[in-house]
Formats: sequence, structure tokens, C-alpha cells
Amino acid sequence: MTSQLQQQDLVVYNDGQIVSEKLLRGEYNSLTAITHIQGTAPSWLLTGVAENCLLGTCHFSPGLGTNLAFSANEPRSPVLFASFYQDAAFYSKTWKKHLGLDIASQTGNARYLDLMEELMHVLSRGADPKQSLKHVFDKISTEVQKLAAKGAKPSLIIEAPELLLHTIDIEVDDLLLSLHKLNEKTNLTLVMSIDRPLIEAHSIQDGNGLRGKHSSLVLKLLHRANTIIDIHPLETGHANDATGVLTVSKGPIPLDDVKVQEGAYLYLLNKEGSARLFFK
Amino acid sequence: MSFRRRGDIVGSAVPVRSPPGVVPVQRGPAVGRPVPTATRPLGAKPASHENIPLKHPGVKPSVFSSVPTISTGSADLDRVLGHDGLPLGQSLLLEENGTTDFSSTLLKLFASQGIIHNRLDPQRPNTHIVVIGPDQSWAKALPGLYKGSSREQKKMQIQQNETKISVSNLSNENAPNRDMKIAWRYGGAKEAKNNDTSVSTHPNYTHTFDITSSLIPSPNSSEITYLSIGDSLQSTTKQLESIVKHNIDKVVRIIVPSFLNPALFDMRLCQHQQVIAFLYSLRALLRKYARSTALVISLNLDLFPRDSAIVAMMEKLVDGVLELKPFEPILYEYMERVYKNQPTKIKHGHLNITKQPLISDLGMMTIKEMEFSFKNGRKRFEIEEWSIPVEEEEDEKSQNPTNHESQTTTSIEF
Repeated sequence: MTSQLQQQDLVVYNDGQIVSEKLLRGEYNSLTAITHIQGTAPSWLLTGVAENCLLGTCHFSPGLGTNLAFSANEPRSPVLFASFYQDAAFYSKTWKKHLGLDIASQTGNARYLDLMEELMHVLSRGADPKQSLKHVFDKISTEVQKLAAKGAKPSLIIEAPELLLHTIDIEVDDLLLSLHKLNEKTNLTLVMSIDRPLIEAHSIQDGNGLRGKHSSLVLKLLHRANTIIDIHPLETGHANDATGVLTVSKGPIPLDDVKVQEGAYLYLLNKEGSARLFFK
Repeated sequence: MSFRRRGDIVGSAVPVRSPPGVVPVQRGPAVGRPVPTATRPLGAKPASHENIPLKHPGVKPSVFSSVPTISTGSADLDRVLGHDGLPLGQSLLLEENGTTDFSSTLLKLFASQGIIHNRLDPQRPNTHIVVIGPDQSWAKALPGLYKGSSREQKKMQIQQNETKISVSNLSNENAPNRDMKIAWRYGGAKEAKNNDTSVSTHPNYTHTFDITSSLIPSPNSSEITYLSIGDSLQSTTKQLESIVKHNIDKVVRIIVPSFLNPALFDMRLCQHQQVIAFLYSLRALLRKYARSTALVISLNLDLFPRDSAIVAMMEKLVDGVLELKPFEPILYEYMERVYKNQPTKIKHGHLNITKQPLISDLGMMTIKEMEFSFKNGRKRFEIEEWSIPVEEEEDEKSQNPTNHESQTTTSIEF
């Protein structure tokens, strides 16, 4: 199927970028939601977004070329990657390959924050839920401030914030408020799973249930997003020549300076985690 | 003419006398007693957990990404996981539908494999098992090593008898058919040479188990720890971490049979927040001790269906998910009818792959439903590609008479 198609670059905004220059330089802080389901984990896409923010290039968008204007020391935008789901070891190989950075060194303009370990400490202490939430977000905020101190507006990627909601006893609105505070200082990208059993619109009424909380968080965030990127498997199931479908769509909140270039792509991942995109 | 001392082994090329207190090296295959591959010099320090993957005889690099991997005790399951085993620091969830308990067999194979690795060198235990939930009775029926078919066992017995020193054996050596015997032995040597080339560089990585036998001797407290569920799942996680720290120089195989089964888990602990926090802590623990731990959990889908939110979150928090789906009675009866003369071909159910450790997290789409079937055999948990059996005999019978009639009719009309 994809072997006959021409490889495409991922274009999210009408200036041809994955993360627009106007968003990185402007005063407005964008909110991007990346959603996925079982079978299409977004780790490759997140590495690409981090690469684009930092260096202006992207390993699955060769059309962006090699941007010599930016480097890890003089980045397009400093990046903080905070994950509740994966540890640093998982991303170390791809960061080395595509960003040219050692993920363990937390001194540069790209930092990895292992929130999994942080959350485990919180759980083992059994502290008050609101204090636990504050502790975790203080940790993120401190890292953001370190990056912001260098001058440029940081880009923040948070993977699986829903795990915080489901492991400690907090309200959805408390989490949203904490995320909003971070969004005031950064361009925020949130990565969430939207598997069918977890999402049901009428379950929102059931505020304390797992499905209700998850649905409420996802739907409220999607309604605040400027850009939504969704990846899901092919409807026909497993195929050797296509891994899944990536869809870019506008969020309910419009952007002033730049427009979202809506579109759908087929993508194919290889064993090393490198992707190729094709128009659907 | 040469003479042999009475204490020397008959048949050995170079007579070797063992010093007192040292067990002599056995010749020939030692069935049920694997030969240790490495020995530790006296006074050497135990290996730190960072070096476990390099030194452990049951650890080898993954065929997918070269991460250290351990065998599950089932070669077919190892293959299906995509790494030729379960990578260290990763978890596997076995989901099962219906009232069958195939997942229990896989968990016990996983445990038995660890025990066998641990017993390779009695001086240097290298593996520890932690079972969360059930009591000691769980390990009573762990499968033992497969010793071959009854015919092979008889043959082995004869060979062992022949190597013993007895008047009849010594007289047979001078018998006229000795040349034939030597020829047979050369043939055997050739065969052994061929086998040597196929032996991998990790000969003790995986073993074949017989689920109708029991592991002897039964595992003791230094090999298995049973963790009962306390007041909270979090306290269990703390205990588990202390066990892992205590066995830091070993590979720790963690097993959670029948997760959330009301017989083992208090329903107060089955609230979604507790369950997710527990699995999350296990995930973090596995990542923290990524070079020495691995986890396998079984879950009954009748209690927690796959379309429930809690199972979706559980699947997210583990690294590999396999579903064992026994055949519907109608399909099973159909297979029995089709394979009436080949009962070994009858399978027991479908094996659906939902998630493969590491591979799925990289974004590879690995969901495969109804593509594999499994069969719980005596010496092997078989997993093969599924193909719908065709009822050939009945088809032929039903087609032939009609064809014959139509041909006759046609010829008459023509």
C-alpha cells in the first residue's frame, strides 16, 4: 500500500512546521493535545516534536532539512520532557540518535524529567493527595523556570498526566488548574490515551469512577486545545506496510497568528523507531 | 597389554582419579541434572545486579533489541513475545477467558524455569521467585524437567546400565559383536557432533518441562518467597522492594497469579485507585531494578472484562499483554471431528497478542487477534499460527455422490 506512495513531511501549521515559529516566539502559549490508543504508542512522535522544538529539524520530516541555525547549545526553543509513563532509559537511545543528546545529562537546553520515580515516592509516602499534586507540579515548575532563565520560552511535553489523576485521590479540576498554570509559562503538549473503554461522554456525571474521571479530563483538555494530533491503528487491523493513521485537526480554541493545517497521514514505523509518513 | 586400576571409570580415554571430597564429572547426558556452566572461585565476591545479565546462564540478549532477556519456560511463548523471552525490567499480563486455567500453567513454567536456573550451580544461586497472593501450596505442583518419552527413558536406562562395572559388561567388551558396537558408537559420535553445531551459546537459557511431573525437590524458602496481601497493596510493594534489594545479585522473577481474584484479594483492595497505584508502583519498581527483575501477572477476564476501564488501565501499565481465549465448545467439537485420526493437532484456543514488551511502546502496531492458537501439551505449551481446519473427508463424501449422479445424468442427456 504505502510502498507506492511518496513520503511526506508532517505539517501541523501553515508555515510548514510541526511546531510553528510564531508560537515559539509569540506571547501566546499554545496547548497541543496528542491522543492515542492501544497499539499506537506515540513515543516516536514525541521524539520528533522535541527534536523540532529544539533543533528545528525532524527525523521523519526530511523536507525540514538540516537547520544549521540551531543546536543543543543555541536551541530554537528549550524543551522539558516530563513523563509519568516512561523512564529516561526508554528514550535515551532515540534522543542520542535524533537529538544528539545524552538524556542523563540534565544540564543542557533539553531536559528529561522522570516523573515515574517522583510519583512512586509520593505513593510510598502516602501523603495528602493535594500536597502530592503540589509536590509533583512544583518539581515540573522548577525545571521550567531553569529553562526559562536562559531567555527563550520553553516547550513542555507531559506524557500521560492521566496517571496522576488515577493514582492519587485528586479532582479533575485540580489537575486542570495545575496544568493551566504551567501553560501560562510554556507551550504545552499533553499526551493522553483515549482507549474506548476509558472514554464515555455520559460517564462524566460519575465523577469518582475511573471512566468518569478519565473522560472528564480528556474532554475538558480537548476543549481547551489549539491543536489536536491523534494517532490510531488502521481500521482493518495489523498490516505490514502501514502502522497507523495520524490525523491533525484544529482544536476548539483558534490561533491568531498561525493556522493549523488539517490533514491525515498514513505512517510506517521500522524496527529502530524511525517513521515515514504518506498522505492518506 | 594394559591394566586399569579398579577405581577408574571403565570406558574413559584418560583415567582420572578424583581427589577426595570432589564429585567426579559425569560422562554422558545427565538427565534432570543440568551441568553447571560457570563456577565461582572461592572467596570471590557475589556479582552485583549490574553484572547479572552478563553472568547469568539464563539471560541472553533479545533478538529484537539486544536487551537482557529471560526465558518464560515456554519456547513458543518466548518466540511470541518478540524477544525470544521476556526482557528484564518488563512485565507481562496473561488474560484468560472462561473457566479454564491455562495461564496458571504458564506462570508455573515461568517459576520452574527460574528454579532450574537457580539450581544450575548449587554454590551460586542466581534466581529468586516471588509469588504475590497465594500461599505455599501454589508451588507444590511446579512442573519438573522433561526426561524424554518412555521409550527414550528406557534407552537411557540401558545406556546407564552399560556404563556400570559388572561382569556381564566387561565380558561384552570382548564379545565378537564389539566391532558393531564401536561402529554404533561412532555413529552416535557423529550425531552428537551435528547436535553440537546447533547448540546455542546459551545452552541453559531455556528448558523443556513436563507438566505431568513435579519439580523435585520442591522449592524451598531460599528459592521462593510468598508475599501475602496485607492491609494495602502499597505495603505489599514495599515488602517486594525489600526482597528485591535482599536478592540484588540475583534475577528476581515476580509472579502474581489470579490478580484481583476475590479468593486471594480483599475486595476493599480492588478499588480502581488502589489497583492502578499498585500496578504503577510495580512498573516503577521494575524500571528501577531493570537489570534484575521481571513480572508476570494473570487475570481472569470473566471477573474484569476487557471492555472495562480498569482493564484498559491495567493493559496500559504493563509492557506485554496476551489473551488466552479457549475455543467455543462448537469449534472444539468440530476440531475433534476433523482431527479424529490426528488428535495431536487439536488446539485448545486462540492466543491474541495485544501488546509486546518494548516493541509496542516504540509505537509498533502489534495487535494480532485470532492469528495464533495454543495447545497445552504435556511437554510443550504450543503456540502456532491459526488456520481453520477443513473437513476434507466429509466434503469428499458429500461431493462425490452428487458429482457422480450429475455426471451420469449429464451423459444420459447428452
